[in-house]
Amino acid sequence: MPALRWAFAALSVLLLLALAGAWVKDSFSEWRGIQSRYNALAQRAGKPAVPVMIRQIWKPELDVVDRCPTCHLTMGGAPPLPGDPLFAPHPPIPHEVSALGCTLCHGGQGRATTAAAAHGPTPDWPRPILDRPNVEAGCGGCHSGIKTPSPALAERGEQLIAQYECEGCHHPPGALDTIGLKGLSEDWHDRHAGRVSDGGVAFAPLADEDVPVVAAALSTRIGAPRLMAGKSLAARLGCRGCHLINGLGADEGPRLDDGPRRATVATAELAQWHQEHLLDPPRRVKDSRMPRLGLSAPEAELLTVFVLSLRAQALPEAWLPRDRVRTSRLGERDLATDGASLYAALCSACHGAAAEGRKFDTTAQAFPALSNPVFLALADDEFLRRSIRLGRPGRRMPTWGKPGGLSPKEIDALATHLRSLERPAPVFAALVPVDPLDRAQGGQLFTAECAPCHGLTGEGSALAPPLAAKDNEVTTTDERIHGTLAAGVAGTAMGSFRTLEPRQLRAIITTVRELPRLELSRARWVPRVGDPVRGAALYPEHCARCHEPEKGKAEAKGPGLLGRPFLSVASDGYLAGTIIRGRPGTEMPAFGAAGKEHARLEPDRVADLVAWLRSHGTFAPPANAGTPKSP
Amino acid sequence: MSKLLRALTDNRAFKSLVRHGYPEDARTRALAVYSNLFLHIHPLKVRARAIAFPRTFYLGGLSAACFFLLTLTGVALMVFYRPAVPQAYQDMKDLEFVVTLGVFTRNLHRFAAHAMVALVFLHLVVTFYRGAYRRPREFNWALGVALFVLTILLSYTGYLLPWDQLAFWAVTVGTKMAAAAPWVGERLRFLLLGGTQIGENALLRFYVLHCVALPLLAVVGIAVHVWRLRKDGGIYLGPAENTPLADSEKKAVDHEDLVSTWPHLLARELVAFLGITLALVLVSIGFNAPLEAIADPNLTPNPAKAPWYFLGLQELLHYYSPLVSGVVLPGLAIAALAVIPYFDLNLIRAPLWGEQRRSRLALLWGITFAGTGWLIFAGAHPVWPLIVPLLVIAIVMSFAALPSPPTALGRWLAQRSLPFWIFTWFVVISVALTVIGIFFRGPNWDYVLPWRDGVYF
Repeated sequence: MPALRWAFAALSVLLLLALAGAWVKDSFSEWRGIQSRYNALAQRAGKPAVPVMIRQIWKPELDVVDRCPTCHLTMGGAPPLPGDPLFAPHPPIPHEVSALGCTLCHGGQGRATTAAAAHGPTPDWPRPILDRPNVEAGCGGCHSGIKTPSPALAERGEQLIAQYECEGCHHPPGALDTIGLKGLSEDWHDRHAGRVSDGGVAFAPLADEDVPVVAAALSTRIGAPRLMAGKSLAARLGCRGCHLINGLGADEGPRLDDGPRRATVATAELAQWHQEHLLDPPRRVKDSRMPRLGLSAPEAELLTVFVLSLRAQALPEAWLPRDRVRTSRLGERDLATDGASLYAALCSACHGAAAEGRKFDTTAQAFPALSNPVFLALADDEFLRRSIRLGRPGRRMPTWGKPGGLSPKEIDALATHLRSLERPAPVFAALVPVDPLDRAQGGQLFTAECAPCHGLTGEGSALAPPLAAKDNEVTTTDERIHGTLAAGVAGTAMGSFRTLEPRQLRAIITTVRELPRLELSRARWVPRVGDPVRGAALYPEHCARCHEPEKGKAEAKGPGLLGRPFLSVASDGYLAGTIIRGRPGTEMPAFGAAGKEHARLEPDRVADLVAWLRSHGTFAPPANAGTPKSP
Repeated sequence: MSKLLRALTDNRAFKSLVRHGYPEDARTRALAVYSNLFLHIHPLKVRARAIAFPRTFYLGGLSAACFFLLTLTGVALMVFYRPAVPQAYQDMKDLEFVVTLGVFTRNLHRFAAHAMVALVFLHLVVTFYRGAYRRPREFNWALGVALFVLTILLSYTGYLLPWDQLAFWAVTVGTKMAAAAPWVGERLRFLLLGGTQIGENALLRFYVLHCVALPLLAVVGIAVHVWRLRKDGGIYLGPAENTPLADSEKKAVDHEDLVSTWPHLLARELVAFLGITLALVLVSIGFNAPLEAIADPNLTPNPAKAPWYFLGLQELLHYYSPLVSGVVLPGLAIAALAVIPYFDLNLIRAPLWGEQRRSRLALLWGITFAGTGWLIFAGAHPVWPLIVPLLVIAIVMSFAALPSPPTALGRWLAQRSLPFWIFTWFVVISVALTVIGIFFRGPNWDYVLPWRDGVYF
């Protein structure tokens, strides 16, 4: 029994001590220490002390329970105190802290009352707090729909703002930094008329054409320069050619909409990951197909802010900001939708900023140069529109006509932009008068450019009508020859020849006019449909080397030709014209003439080849067949 | 001092409460127990040998102590908890961050629950090895097995309540196993979950089961269990001493061995209670109960593990269909445990190797080889966690069968009976499977080394 008594006494005392310890551990919490520190500083500064207790911002409709003001006392209304950055006031922002709480913007765990749990990263809270360099990413959580203007416009606008010295009157410096928050009024420029600055400088009106440009640049000044710069950069680099962002983009790469859900990684670490990944994808993702973008380190940092901003915050309908309503409910885009801007945002990553074509070491395929003059000469607008809409299955070219892609109007804008890359049609009146020296050149040009289809004497072929037929009226006037050369004939292999200089055109016209007339009839000429059986034999010999994958490889060097979508878009004329004229600057040779590594294909053989290709898929004729390829 | 004491005790109010005075002689000690509703579940006198620690290790009492602590902390936690989605998880966060002693209370509840499952299992094991299931105790033994199942159900229903990933997926794994029972499985699961998926309905049902239905059953069950213990002659001391006689208490027994319950038994109970409470309090101060991210049915963790006491079954699930590993095998094990005493299987515990040694040895290895072959070739892959213990036990048994065992341990083993070996086999396999499931299984249920890769749960 004495042993039991001792045991009883000792255990009782120990249990009481342990329970007291539990209470002590619970009571001497981090936040109590911070509030005591605040009170000590307040006493020194002669400010009132705050009662020691938990404080929170509670917004049930937003699911916000933010106990951050327990330590960040000034966010809960306590007067700011000097001497400790923790007790500094919030930097000016367009929102009331008490109206939205903290975590909607900053991330982190609002219910937590310890710094470690609140700021993260913790395994039980998927949103660690955004660190300083990336804090603007928080704006994007709700304001996902803020529009980026056309890259060219915005850049020029910034130059103009400096040039017109707007900030000479709008001071202090930074006075215009948040001007875009409320949106500029329609008459913002007119209202400046007659205003005189404090320094006595009268307002000098901007040039009319500069007003919208300056407005575009000002609209991006919403107090989040890094986020907007990152977003503009993403819109310029063509990220959406592979990634879905804010409801627009392809599915080649992972969608970036969902936002990163890396629970156990601090934002700084995640940002580091993104920066390194953006600079050199394989360093972070083994076997990544994402090409090196050739970014500078600061650019990678700005893009990181944007990528981090994509963790869209679930918001009740009534709390959606205007910009987000416009993008998520009204179908507007968060970027300018003119052709050039869409090209930059969607196409430029693969096809090049100036549509010059690109080749990355991550894929065997090269991305075609859309500005290639021969391509633009042969592809009519409908071809461009439909290629964009249907994409190129088997290639990296996405199907832009499906959900997550583009509207018909946007596809039109893109096609128009691509067409604008072609050299404008020369005006007939502007053609130089014929020079005797050009006559000789005319013969050479005719042989090189016309004869592959029309024959050396203009006798015509399976593909092309006889130019020298005595009833051929087109070849009787300079204007009509010029018209055909400048615009081509839609649906046929006759593309435009804007690739030629006016002098060269003049020379060809003269040569054609002076062709000796032959006993042939233009009226009775019809294009001859080739023989697919003979074409089948030609394909392996001339085409398969590039257009079919090599043994053991998944991808061919050149684009696949036998897919239905492509064949439904490409007319016989486009196919034949491309075979004859090739694609200068790429490995696709012009089969209209013999070259180093290929033999010439007679027009009849080209027709056979086209017939065989055609047997793999029918062409859906565009609505505007028969009209000139381009206006 | 004594004046003050007298003033406190020498009045009508105190005497109406404590009627017998301070229990210092045999009469008042008897009265202290006899006149107390709670204490008179004990007899007035108990044997000193019966209440010695090594006899039972107080495992039943410690389990009851855990149940008491769980009730206290559970009621406290109920004040802060709403069984709804997502409030349940938010309430967990509030417990963690703003409720005074909230984390501590939750920790204590959690760790006491784990301790209770382990203690009840140990209680079962020790009771079996002591042979305390013999007539007339067979009903109490079966009731004890039922209470073991009830303890696991109590712990399991509580597992879902925090509504975090850990809870959600542990319960998902568990209910999937139960659903494999033929015909009733799916219905049972639907009844339990209030739907086909774990959601708000399941949370509410588990809450009601955990806080009301199962505790009520447990209280009644424990009361009957303790009452039966007393009716069956108290702590079991061996086949010679409390032979199955209904009126054994009246029988002339060795009176020198008897001590009064107050204070001898009660003091021990109090010390045991203080001891386990202190241990659990210290653990609760030092470690926090896990709370993962909020339950997300679309985000399956890898591995998704059931609560630790089910990991033996989950390990089996790796080898057999859910029907076998989740229903048939545990069902058979529980049923076998419950009915052992009713079959009078070698109740006097004659040594297995007492007679017919050769033929029994042949039979043992026949069964062992057949079983091993079946375990290797019947399933998709060999069931090593079953094969290895099976072989080890067969080898130890054969060692015990040697004609003249060389050591004391050998001699002791030679005296063991068949039920001893069967039960040992059951315990070893349960523990081995559970330990493998807890420590040695990681993502995709592949083997991991806990000291190298950490413990997945």
